[in-house]
Amino acid sequence: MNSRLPRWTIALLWLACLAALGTWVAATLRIGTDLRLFMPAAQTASERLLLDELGEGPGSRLLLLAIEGDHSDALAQTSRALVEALAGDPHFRLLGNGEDPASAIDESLLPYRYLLGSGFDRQPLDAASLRAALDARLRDLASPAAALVEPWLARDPSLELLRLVEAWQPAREPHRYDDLWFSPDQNRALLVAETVAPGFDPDRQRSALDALERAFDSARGERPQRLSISGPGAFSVLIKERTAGEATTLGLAASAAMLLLLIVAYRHWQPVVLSALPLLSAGLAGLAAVGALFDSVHGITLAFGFTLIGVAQDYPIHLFSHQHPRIAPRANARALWPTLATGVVSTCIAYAAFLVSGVTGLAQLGCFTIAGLAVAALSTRFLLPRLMSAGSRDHGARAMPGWLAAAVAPRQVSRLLAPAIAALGVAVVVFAPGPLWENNLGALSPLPPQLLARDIELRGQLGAPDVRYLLVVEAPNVQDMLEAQLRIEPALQELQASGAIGGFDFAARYLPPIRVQLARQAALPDAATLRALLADASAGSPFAAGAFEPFVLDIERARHLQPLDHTALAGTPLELRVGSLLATRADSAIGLIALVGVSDPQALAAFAERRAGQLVLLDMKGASEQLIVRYRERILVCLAIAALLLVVLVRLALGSSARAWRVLLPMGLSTIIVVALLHALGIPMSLFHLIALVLAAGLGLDYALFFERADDDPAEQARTLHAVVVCAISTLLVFALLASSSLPVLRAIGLTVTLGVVSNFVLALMLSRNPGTRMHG
Amino acid sequence: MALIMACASLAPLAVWAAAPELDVLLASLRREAPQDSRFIEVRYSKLLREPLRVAGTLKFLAVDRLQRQIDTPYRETTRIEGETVYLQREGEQERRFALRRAPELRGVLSSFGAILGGDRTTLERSFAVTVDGSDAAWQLTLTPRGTARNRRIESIRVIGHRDQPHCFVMRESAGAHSVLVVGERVDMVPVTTPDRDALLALCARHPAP
Repeated sequence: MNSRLPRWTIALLWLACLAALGTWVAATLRIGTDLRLFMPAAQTASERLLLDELGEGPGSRLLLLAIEGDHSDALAQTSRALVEALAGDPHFRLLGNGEDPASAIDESLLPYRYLLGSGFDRQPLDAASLRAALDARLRDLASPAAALVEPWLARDPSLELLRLVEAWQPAREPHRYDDLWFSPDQNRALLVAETVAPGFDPDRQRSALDALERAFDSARGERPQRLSISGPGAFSVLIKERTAGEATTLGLAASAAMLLLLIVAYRHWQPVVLSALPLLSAGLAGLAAVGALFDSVHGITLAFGFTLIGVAQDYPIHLFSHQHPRIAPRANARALWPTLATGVVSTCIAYAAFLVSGVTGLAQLGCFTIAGLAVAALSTRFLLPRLMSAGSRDHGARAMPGWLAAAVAPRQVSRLLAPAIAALGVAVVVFAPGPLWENNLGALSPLPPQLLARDIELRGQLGAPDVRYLLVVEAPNVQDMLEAQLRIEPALQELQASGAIGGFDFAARYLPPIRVQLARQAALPDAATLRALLADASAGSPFAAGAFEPFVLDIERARHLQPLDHTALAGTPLELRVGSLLATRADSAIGLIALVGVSDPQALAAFAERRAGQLVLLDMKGASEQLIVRYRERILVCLAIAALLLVVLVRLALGSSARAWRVLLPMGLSTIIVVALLHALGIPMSLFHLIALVLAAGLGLDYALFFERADDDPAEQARTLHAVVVCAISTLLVFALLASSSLPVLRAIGLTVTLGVVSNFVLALMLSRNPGTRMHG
Repeated sequence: MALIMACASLAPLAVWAAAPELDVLLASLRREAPQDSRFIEVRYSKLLREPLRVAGTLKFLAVDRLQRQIDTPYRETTRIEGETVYLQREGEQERRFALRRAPELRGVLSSFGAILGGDRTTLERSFAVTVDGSDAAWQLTLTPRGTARNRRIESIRVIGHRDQPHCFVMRESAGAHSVLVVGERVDMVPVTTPDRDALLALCARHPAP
């Protein structure tokens, strides 16, 4: 018999250990938010690009802003004030409202107009073309455009700069009002912001959004205007906040329900308080293990991990339900241990499949769960009994509510039941229509559809690039890649003319290859030649002699410039445009061809097919689906291996094939039933359903093991029944709550586990109890 | 009767002292569309050895629709429709400019349309407007609004008498001047283009009684 003193000492020591572990975890654990941790390593070029785009790409950093709720002039004023307020803000690389950002060509690039622009390629600089240009300028001077032309005339009589600006116009310009971007109905002022933080960093995105909202509040003053923000970054913030909010609410509700259940089940404070200790230990041990083995733990790992180790609550419940006055708690724990350990080890084997899945986030989840469950089981076996008193109640002797007693009363079960269920389940899976698997990453997005629709609308109005399709040109270096893009350009123009795409944009449009720039440079006349040409061309015209001397100087400068390459663009207005369309790697350069207004994806696919060696069509949705399929296949293989190991383990632990069969049958059948039910309900399965299935199978195995274990003693059978009923109800409570969630991911897990627990409990009750010890009546 | 005539001839004398009210002046300049007027436009620039002169017809079709057609020395048509300017030259594709994108284009033609439409709101959206002179010989000065950074037009002066505008004089930041002569005064411009001061004097000359 334990004296009171050592019991409290043990409790305090245990708590002290937990506190120390907690402190260490809090100090060292870094929480990551990069969604790519939950993606397998990319294997194809397009998968690599997909992952880059998802995390760091310019598309993922783009926020689309709309200001509305006022008349157009007031909206325009706020739009200008907002841009002014955020100029130089460290959160943003760029904030545009359509107002000329001092034009795309600043003084630093001005001399390069004769190298970057293609004007003289088609029309070499000779006396005839110069005369035509001067005649046209004379007419310009007599036209309403005179004030536009006059300041440039002396430097640029052929208006190369204008041609360049026109060539660089975005493929599709948004509608304008008062010089600013507006929706066509002029009810919304539109802006685009590019954040410094990647889209999937909700914390840094949150601070960027805060800066934006503060600036907007001061820009609008007292006016009743609203700012709405769309785009991957804003969405990741929303997802995080919604998930965290709802998970907290559901978690609190679940905890309260658990507490109530434990009080009803045990009518004593001890089980209620003490059963929290293994769970707490499991959580901290899981965190510590992940913290020690990985750089950072992903937020999703944490959220799911805590859901998964909720199972650890079952271990103390078994101990408390089997406790009665005639057995010492430590002997009780020793007697339960083989069964409990078999269940824990089997569950851990299933989660070990995630450890080797090749996906960091899942490996973390596996590590967290295995460490947590192992610690919960060990503390239930070795620590918890030392804190318990033998108690005065025998939970097995307590009368169950009548409906429950009737429900769990043993029945004679037909031998045909199991094969019938299996056959029916398989038939449903095979013959029911609809997809078995969910390949669309977006289907699990917790965003309301109207937000996504609004994003698409804003994107259309702003002429932002298509989010799904992208053409990719890869070459050993940047120059070869630019050359390749120039070769494809005529075909792209044809594609645009055919209407399949609304427009396109690529790096070579702004930055021709060095070869082209050198050729243009070589074709420029020297100063003496040019002066002679000018004299010839302006003979008899009203232009003053020497009027074009600034032009001669500019050409002379252009003849001696170092050609521009992508590294020389830093600090110029072109840096952003070219930078977002070009990526360099150690041994290759990748050029993106952004597409606007893809209206005929089939024609686009055929276009890319015909040029298979030159470019690749990247279908973001297709690539992500392909990625998910591959990812799931690997996990399924791992799970199949884990299932085999589990069968071997259970057979070894129970020492008899017949017993092993009785334990494994309910679990196997339940898995078939849940899959069939989900399929019949028209719910395609995602990765999260798979995780939930593993969780449900682990629970079912525990139920079956305990039912099977119960020996001839009817009192012990009653205690086991009490334990499993409390376990099943507590799990049901938690996961039924999750199933009511508005977030698809939580709903997927909640529904699957709820179905699984019911099925496992019922089947274990019917199939796992030792036939020789079956009670009658 | 003589008394009435005396009063009528004295009445203008009384208001000569003060500049006319902008609203009153604009109301008197207002015309019902459509209206046609011949024009001569002369440009003076240091890039040019001699002034550039074109002549043709201005058509006022509506407050925001205007057409400027050059007949000599070549044919060219400019249309302003709302916020877009279309430029059509013989043997060339029509070119298009958005007024919002090129505020420099919001020059003489816009002010011409706004004045004939009597649209003070439109006028004042683009320009700060001041009036000098008298009813009989007034001068409207339009200074473009917007940032000085990319302003290429310094001012537009409209010179006229009573309810007739005669000349629109645009001074550009780059130093060039453009003088648009409309109405009866077109016939007074000599065949040999006068220099700028002579032309401006012609614009301001008092009408024959």
